[in-house]
Amino acid sequence: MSTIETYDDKVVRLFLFASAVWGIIGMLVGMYLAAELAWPFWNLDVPFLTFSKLRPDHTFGVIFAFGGSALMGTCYYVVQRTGHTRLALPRLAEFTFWGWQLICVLAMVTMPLGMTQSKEYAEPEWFVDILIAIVWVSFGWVFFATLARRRIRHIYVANWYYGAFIIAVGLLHIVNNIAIPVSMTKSYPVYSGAVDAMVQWWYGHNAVAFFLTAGFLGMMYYFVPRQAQQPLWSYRFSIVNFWALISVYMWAGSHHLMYTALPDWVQSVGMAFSLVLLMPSWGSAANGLFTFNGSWHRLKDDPAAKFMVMALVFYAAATFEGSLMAVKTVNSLSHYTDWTIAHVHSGSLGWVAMITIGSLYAMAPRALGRPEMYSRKGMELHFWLHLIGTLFYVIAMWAAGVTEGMMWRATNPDGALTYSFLDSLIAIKPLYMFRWFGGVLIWLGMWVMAWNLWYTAADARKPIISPIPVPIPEPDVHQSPAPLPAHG
Amino acid sequence: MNPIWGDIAGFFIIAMMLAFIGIWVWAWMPWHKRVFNDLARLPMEDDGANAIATEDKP
Repeated sequence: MSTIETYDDKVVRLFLFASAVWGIIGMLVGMYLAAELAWPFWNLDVPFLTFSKLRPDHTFGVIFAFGGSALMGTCYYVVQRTGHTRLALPRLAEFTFWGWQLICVLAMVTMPLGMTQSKEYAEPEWFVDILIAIVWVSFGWVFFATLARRRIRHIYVANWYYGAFIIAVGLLHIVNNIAIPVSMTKSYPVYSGAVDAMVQWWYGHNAVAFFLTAGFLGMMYYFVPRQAQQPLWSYRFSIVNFWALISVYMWAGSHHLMYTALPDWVQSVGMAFSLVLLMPSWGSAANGLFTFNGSWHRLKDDPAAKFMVMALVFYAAATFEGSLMAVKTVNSLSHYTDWTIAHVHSGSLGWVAMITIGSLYAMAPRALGRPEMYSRKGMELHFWLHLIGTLFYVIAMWAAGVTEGMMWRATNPDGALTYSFLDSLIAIKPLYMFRWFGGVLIWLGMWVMAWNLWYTAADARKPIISPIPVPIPEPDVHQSPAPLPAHG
Repeated sequence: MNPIWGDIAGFFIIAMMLAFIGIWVWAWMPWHKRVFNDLARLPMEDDGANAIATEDKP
């Protein structure tokens, strides 16, 4: 008996919903922290509301909860479509959803209470780390099992990026979090001194590389050609860029430790690889932008395409800036200043958030059984709120960073420092207010997206949507091995 | 540090450069053109509604 195989989008919808919720929560915390920096009384003398305690909640909330949910949801969506097959192991896939949400809640509750390893972007304590490892391995299992049952021989390039993201993040997480627990809530890393610093920034930088770049490039390589309705500009170029990116990125982490106790040659290796990294980064950005050739008119009335194009522009700009900042002489000006904050946010708000939002707007109608998003005007409003907010944020922090760098290195003829630290803080205070305002606009935009998704999901909530059939290719004569039978 | 590490590093760099050039050459081989063109169009399929007949089946 022949049956119709359909895509399994249930877990995709769950992750879609979760990413919208975590986006609002993570960015609310960021906005509150920006307010604390501009007006310190906002810490209200409550320990867990101070910047130091809340900051990991912002980074974990936006990177792992918002970004992670979007990555896992789109990954499950893309691997099915590019393999013409249904998701393997649907129960395990659902476990990865609930497991990931539990991890996010546990991490964001325990970190402000002081349960932290004090490793940047790897703050959660050992009991959360073990849960992360279990869920991550399950995620990889579902992804690779689905890939194994694909009906298209070649693995589409987006899946290469998603695969690299899954393998590398698992490796980084486990190696960086090897620790000895001394109680239920406290552990100590097995590394110490400069080795600890190097392992931490090997992890920290590659979290940027494989979580915030490779994963989102996977998103870009699928959703950009789809939204542009143009074939990918150069498929073979995407293969070269993939191998170049993943082989070079691993070596660049030491640029986070310029002018520290790390051996000088290790710092130079980080600088050299960071410069080389510009080529594959711009290669992918160019590939995405050129894919819009012949479809530029779509930008007039398609806000999802606008988000994607702007994301690629920010990706090109932020990667150029990153390579520049890894040059030792530039780093001597930029390090420890708000220039770093500007760079991180032009990458995260400009590239990561915009490609995510564009992809969610592209994916949501298909996953929610609607012809298009509920409100195109809502999408348009979101685009402008996000873009203006991001520009407010990064321009203010660029100005603040250069101001700090110049003031900190200024000396009098007798060699004494011209300015105290407090002088630089007073000089940049208005810029902190601008940054907060930019954050408010971005956060309001996330509410607009959540509202729009909620109404787009009206049918899915009832639930009265029909699952989408998998296109099963006709087998060739004498095809070997035989194609997979359809699974209803 | 033992100078042998410098030789190993040099060998590794040359091997990586050759591998990179090899990937370029492999990707530009003319017999990949048809498959790569099909793959470049894969995301344009609209959930099967406009399915593109791909000849690259297992």
